[in-house]
Amino acid sequence: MKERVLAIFGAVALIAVAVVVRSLVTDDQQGGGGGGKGQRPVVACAPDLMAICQALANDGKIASDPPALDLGDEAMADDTIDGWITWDPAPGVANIDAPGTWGTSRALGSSPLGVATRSGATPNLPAGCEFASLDWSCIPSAAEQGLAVGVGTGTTSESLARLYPVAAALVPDGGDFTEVREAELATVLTSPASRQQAFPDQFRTLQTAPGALGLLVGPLGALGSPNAIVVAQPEPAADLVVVLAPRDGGADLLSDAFENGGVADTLRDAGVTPGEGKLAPEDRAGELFAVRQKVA
Amino acid sequence: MTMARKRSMRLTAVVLAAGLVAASCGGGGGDDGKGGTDDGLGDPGDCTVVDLAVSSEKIDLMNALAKSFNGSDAAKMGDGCAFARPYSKASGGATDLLANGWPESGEGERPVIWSPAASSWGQILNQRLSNDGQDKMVGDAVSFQLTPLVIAMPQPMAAALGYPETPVGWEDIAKLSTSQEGWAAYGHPEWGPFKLGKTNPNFSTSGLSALIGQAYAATGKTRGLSQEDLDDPATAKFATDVESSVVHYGDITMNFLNNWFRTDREGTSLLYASAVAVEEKSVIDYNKGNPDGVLEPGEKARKPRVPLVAIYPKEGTLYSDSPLYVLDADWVDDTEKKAAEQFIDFVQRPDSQKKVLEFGFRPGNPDVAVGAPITKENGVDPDQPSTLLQVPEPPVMLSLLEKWREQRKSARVLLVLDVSGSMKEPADSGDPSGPTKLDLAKKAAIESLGEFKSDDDVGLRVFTTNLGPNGEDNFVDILEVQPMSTNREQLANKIRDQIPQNATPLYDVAADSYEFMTEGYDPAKINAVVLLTDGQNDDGQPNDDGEQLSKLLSDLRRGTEGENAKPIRIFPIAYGEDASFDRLEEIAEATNASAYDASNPETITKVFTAVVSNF
Repeated sequence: MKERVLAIFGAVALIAVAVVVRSLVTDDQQGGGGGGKGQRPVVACAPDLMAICQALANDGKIASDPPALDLGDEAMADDTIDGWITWDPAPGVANIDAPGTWGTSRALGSSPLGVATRSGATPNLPAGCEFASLDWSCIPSAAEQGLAVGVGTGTTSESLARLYPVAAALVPDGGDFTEVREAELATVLTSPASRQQAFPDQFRTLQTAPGALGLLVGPLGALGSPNAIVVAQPEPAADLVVVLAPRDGGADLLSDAFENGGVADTLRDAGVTPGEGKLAPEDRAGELFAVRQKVA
Repeated sequence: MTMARKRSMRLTAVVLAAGLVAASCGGGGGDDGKGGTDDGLGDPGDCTVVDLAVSSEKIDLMNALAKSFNGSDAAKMGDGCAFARPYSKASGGATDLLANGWPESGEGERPVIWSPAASSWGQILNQRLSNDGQDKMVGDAVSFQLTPLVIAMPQPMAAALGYPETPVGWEDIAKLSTSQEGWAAYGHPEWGPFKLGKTNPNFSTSGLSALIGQAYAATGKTRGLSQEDLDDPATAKFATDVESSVVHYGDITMNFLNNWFRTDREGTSLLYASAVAVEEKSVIDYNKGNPDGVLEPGEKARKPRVPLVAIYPKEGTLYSDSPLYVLDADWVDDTEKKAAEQFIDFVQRPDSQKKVLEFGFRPGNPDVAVGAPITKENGVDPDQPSTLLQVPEPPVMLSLLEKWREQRKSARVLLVLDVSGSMKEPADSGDPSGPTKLDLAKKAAIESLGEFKSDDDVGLRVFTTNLGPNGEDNFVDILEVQPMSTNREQLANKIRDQIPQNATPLYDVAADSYEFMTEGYDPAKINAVVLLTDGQNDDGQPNDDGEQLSKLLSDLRRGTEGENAKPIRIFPIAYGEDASFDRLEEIAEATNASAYDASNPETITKVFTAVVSNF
């Protein structure tokens, strides 16, 4: 009896393996995306959002092996890429680099922008700044007096989105983003002992290496979970929004792919609430383009 | 059911099970990925071998991780498998080897993964390669564990400084180092002057990190250390102030910790050293009663009477971040790179990271929270450090090392060379026509002279029986202890002139050399004897050997201990298989120094270099 059960179990398992293998083979044959590579669109993701593209590919919504794409990449001009999942307003910034690259973005999810620090060490903030009631203008001042601030490099999609309210605090009264106080911006960007990195790497650093970062700017949804971290939401409130931009002139993409299942989970993992979010005003891209020029 | 039918069904089940295993292997090759030996670190079989050159403080951890990895599902690569094979290689030594192309034999297998204690070594390597017009060999790397540099201090001394309520840093170390009162200023004249232990930054990561920390502390900066900063006379003075209290340097922190631990049993640990720059992990190991981090079979951890406290310098510190570099070297192929990535992925998994924590390192994966043994009960603070210092740009680091060569505490050293008859034996018994033991020893000694700076005082004494004008002396002073600025070339020539002669009056020469150096003791220098011998005591009177040794050890200890001691360190080198390492170790320990093992004469150059790293 025992042998029979084993044999049946084995047979069923073999069939299951065969089905999985077949589906994988089929997927490979159908993959490859646009540009004559199959029915599914080729969608790229900002490097820190690759898990979203991977989840979409796993769900069969986009072509397999989705590429990573960020501002400044040569692949931006690759018209076999049908869409780009990134942080608002990166597609607008890319359109200033190369007009007519991306169409109108659609918000996939959003998170308030927050600031985190380690719970065991109160950061040495400038006079008049309290962590619990932080103002964005406190961030450059904190960097000025030696606190290491994680905001990213100021050149990538995710870091420009994180940097926006800090840069806004450095715009002189009555001025605009082309007049951002460059030296103070540089102080913020060079404040960590190790170089600025993407948010996931900096969040890991904040958790594992006391002393490496005094403050970390990032999506509140991602910052809030671990025990050793405390978070604040500085004023004025700012949001981070994940968007999908179709190629300019291309059709709207993946209209129903983000609400449920694994893709929605990956958005949540990035600290973003699926289905929420409002695109930034149109001039935001120009403002951040100016900031990136200063950083470069 | 008939037996035939039963057998048929069993066969079916076996075949199906085999099919499932094959499917799960991803290719049906049937390779189980086993390395081939029970301990998981022996014969790799047909697996792709990933040789890892790793810094010594984590070799046991890496071996444990490799054993878990080899033969596991994580090691499977399509039809084949990866096999991790770590071996210990000091970070500075590996940097040298990589910069010079790493020879195919004699230095361990050429590594696929290099994991120095800190990524600063990767920067130094790339800079050295770049200076030589070569391509970089390392890029970005995963840091799978961390441990910060701390200033380890016996708890009563830290308390006397007011730590942790009062922050302590390199600034305080510099002041203590030059204080005329020493510990008397803190109400403890019985502790004598402040004494610092620091490893040689050319060899050791903690030495390098301490040097960087000192330089930043001198400037008041936490990042952007520049050449101008190093050229500032105030920075140079700060450095020489700190260095002035160094008891000796050395290639590994273990020597300090072992000496501390040994003197702790005698109740004199506070007199040996007041502070030592080490990694946080070492403080944990020490306080757990296992200063070298390894418990040999039968060895039991025993807690020290005086525990250490980890002081996180108030000016900031650096992490030893254990990067795992997959080398961009011509001896590493794509399959090895892929196998290396699989191992790197494995060590970051939570189960591996729990092991990292068990060994006293901070996990690099935040999914494994920092907990025991990184606790205040073990003398460390998981919420520290408060400030991280920036690793300087590679050219600045090279300049820092260059300047240290002149800023380090000067040395006054007597080289004592065994020229007994046995030194004429071939260094390699399988090559009777090859160089003799004395040939290799002379070559090593001459090469090591390059490590001394101009104001180091170095002299040469040789020993064997029947020396001197009447043939009655046991040793002869060939060159007086004089500054290297005048002695360097003569020393090389005189060493070259030596020939093997008679017997080995080891204890007599050790005792006299110690006494001789004590008479000319210079408190501003590291006073030491380097004693190379290939045999056991043989002065023609074997009956009194025991008594002679006992008196020697007693005299050495008496001269070394106490607040008014004139510490002369004896660093013996046990050269060749006949040398008695145990006896030499006793002599070294009696002076709070370390003995070095060159039982394989081929290693003498490396060993001599390690010995000279103490200065």
